[in-house]
Amino acid sequence: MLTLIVGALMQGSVYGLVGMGYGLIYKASGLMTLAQGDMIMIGAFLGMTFYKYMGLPFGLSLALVMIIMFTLGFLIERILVTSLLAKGAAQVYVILCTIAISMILQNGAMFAWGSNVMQFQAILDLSISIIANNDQADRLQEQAVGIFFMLLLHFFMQHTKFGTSMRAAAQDETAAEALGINVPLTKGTAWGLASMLAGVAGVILGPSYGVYTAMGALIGQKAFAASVAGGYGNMYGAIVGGIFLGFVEAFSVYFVSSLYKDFIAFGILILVMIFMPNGLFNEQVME
Amino acid sequence: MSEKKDIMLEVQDLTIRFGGLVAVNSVNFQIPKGAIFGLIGPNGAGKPTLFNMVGGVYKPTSGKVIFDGEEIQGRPAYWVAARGIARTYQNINLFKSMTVLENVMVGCHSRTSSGLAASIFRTGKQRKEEMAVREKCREILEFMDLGDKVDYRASNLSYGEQRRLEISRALAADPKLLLLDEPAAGMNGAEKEELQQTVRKIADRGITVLLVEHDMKLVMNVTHQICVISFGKRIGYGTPDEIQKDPVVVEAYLGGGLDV
Amino acid sequence: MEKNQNTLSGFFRNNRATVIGVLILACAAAYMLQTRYLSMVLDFICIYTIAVTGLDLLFGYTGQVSFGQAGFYAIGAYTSALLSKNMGIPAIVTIFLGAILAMIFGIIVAFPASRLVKHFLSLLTIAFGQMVYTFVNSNSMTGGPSGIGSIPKISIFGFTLSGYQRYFWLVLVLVIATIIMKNNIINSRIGRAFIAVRENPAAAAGMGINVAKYKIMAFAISAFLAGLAGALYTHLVGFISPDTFTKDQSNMFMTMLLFGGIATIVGPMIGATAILAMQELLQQFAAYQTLIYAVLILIVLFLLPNGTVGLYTNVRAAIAKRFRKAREGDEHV
Repeated sequence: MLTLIVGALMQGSVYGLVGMGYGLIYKASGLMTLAQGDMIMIGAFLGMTFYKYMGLPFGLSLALVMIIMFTLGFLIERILVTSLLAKGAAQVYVILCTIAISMILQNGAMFAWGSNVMQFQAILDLSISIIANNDQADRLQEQAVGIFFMLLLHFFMQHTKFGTSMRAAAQDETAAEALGINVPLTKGTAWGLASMLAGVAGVILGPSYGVYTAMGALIGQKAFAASVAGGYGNMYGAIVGGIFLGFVEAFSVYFVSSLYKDFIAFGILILVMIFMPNGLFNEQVME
Repeated sequence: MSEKKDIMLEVQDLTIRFGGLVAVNSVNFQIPKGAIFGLIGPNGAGKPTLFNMVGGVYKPTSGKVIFDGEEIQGRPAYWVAARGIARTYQNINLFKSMTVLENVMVGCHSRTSSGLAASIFRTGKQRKEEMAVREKCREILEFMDLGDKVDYRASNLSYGEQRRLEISRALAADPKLLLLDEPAAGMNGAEKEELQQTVRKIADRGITVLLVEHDMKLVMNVTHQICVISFGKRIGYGTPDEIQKDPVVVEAYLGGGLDV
Repeated sequence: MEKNQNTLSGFFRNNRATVIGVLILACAAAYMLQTRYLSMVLDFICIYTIAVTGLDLLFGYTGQVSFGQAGFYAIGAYTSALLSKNMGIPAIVTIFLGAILAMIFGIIVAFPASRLVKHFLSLLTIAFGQMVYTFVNSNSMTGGPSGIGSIPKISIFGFTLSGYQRYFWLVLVLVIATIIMKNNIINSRIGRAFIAVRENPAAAAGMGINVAKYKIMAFAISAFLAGLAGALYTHLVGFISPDTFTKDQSNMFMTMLLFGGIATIVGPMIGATAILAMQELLQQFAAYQTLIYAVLILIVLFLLPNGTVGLYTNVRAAIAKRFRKAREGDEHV
């Protein structure tokens, strides 16, 4: 049972980490992305390339992944999303645009790295084979890195000037602009940070999941479920929602069947959307 | 009871709270059938809120809205509309990509009944109804001086024309009561003059009108009775003449707003 | 103009574009029916047109997005396959039973969907699609990942529709029925309510339109058509597996609709034809199919906001303008 709980916590914190990205984007721009899951996958592939094939130290690999992923997210917002909105497109079209981006990322990854499942070693030098104990060790590291980044993001948003401007811009764009805050920059940064978080999640998930082009799709959607459950747009809610979902999954594997894990997770997502559209923390959802 | 029969709309102790804020505080008024009734008040008085409670958009915290002898408070907007209350919107809410004629035809929705199956199979009854709707809507557009614009896209009309189209659309629902939400907003003098005529013409058709308006001249000229609210409370009630002489009302407008 | 409506020549004059279009389509179809392969393509065009027409009524006309049409497609396909294979019900009946079950699911999904804001609606439909996929993929009744094989062919009055050429006549009748149905709906009180809901839900409610009811109705119709298309697919191919019903399939329907042009009668047909033609011509790049969809979506979003139909309308308007200018120029001289 303890294993079950630890596993649920770990899986949940990954959902939470990625889910925070959705919250960030929604807070800063009122939009939604469906490419977040593929950002996880790209992060994993990049991490694997730097760490395993180029032999860079882990810290450097992670830093490089973060920089690249941030830039990618930033540019997607600045170039594609902004110009789409400038044409007066409805928000649904932005969602469609992110679906297209997601397809391109998946296909691009297949082009660059092939369509096989690849493995790479975990961060710390524990002898790796997918045995339960070592698997647990991997997941503990995931947990630690995940928590570290959540704290980092919290610090960034609450205690830096830029974080404050981002929160201000999210609350009232016009007022923020009047105060001299560079609103387009904060929006781009939010998208950048979101894809960076997903990239980090990819790097820490890679060893236990295996790296392949479709690895992110499902996690991305479940992370979305997590952020909805926690209150869409509430970054901290996403963590709670993620852990909630982690528990739901772990227990449905334990009590029902692993086959229906996804079925139950999505079912719960639908129920939450219907009965608690404002999530566990009663976050206001904008029309 | 016999007296009530002549009342189209009665608002009893109507109150609504948003959080701790009381936006409308036990307001009462009665609109006789066939009357043109004005609802006025300074900015932030709660006019749109009151209006939206009558139209079914907001649910009042307490109090009653009695329409033609039936309590309607808290009913959804589409239900209220189907009962015979049609409305226009302060910030024009047309179906922009539809043509002028189609906009008015949507207005006939609650006066027609063809269902999905009848529409798919184009039954004789459905075709007859469709023809009748088309005919009726053209007449309304003639009546509202938009007869030459039937095939224009709604978004291509001028501002004044869009306002008239909104009224046409509301008339298509054969309302017993027409709610006009600041119909003169953004209009020039000539257009306002025309609007005044239109409101009278509508009342001549036997439709009761509830008018929320900023333009005092228009309200004083066209209405039979007026209710004045300020900060959610009723502060004046009577004929235009009485209202203009009411010191409380004049005070509320700081003397400046009531120059007619 | 209206006076002429009753005479035959008047009909041709008023519907010139339609008449010419139908003639061209008939010639193309006659040519394609000569070979087995092209007949198959033709069958698929009709099947996809039915599904995409449903999506158009939902998204194009009522403004509700669905990224989970593959779910309804799967429900129609599996229901018809199982009922005809295991229960011995004639396939011509089961395709409609499949469509009806899909419609019932459409209504179930629509109840919450009609109350959700746009973001959540996208997510709800995705989750629905995933749930259906997970279900058919992990259930012994539906054959799990290996699917269902040797599904009975459809026969009408003892005449079995084996082979792509024969099947075409069935899907042709159904696609024509679908298009007529759509045309009749959008030119009726119901269709106007759909568009009103898309354009301005608040004003629609103010006109006495029960917004939730029409949203649910649109979902039901679109699910019915997706289910019907899925069932037709099943009996054409004779074999189904979960791989056909992934989110790529939902995205393909959306790409077809957007590429053809939303809220138009011919858009879904053009979109289905164009995307299918592209798939067939670029078969050696089958691995990059989703990439092709993605690029097409981006092209539509950034360059052709109204799809191919919109492009045609714009070009025609531009040509007409030029001619008018030229004529005016002549008059001045």
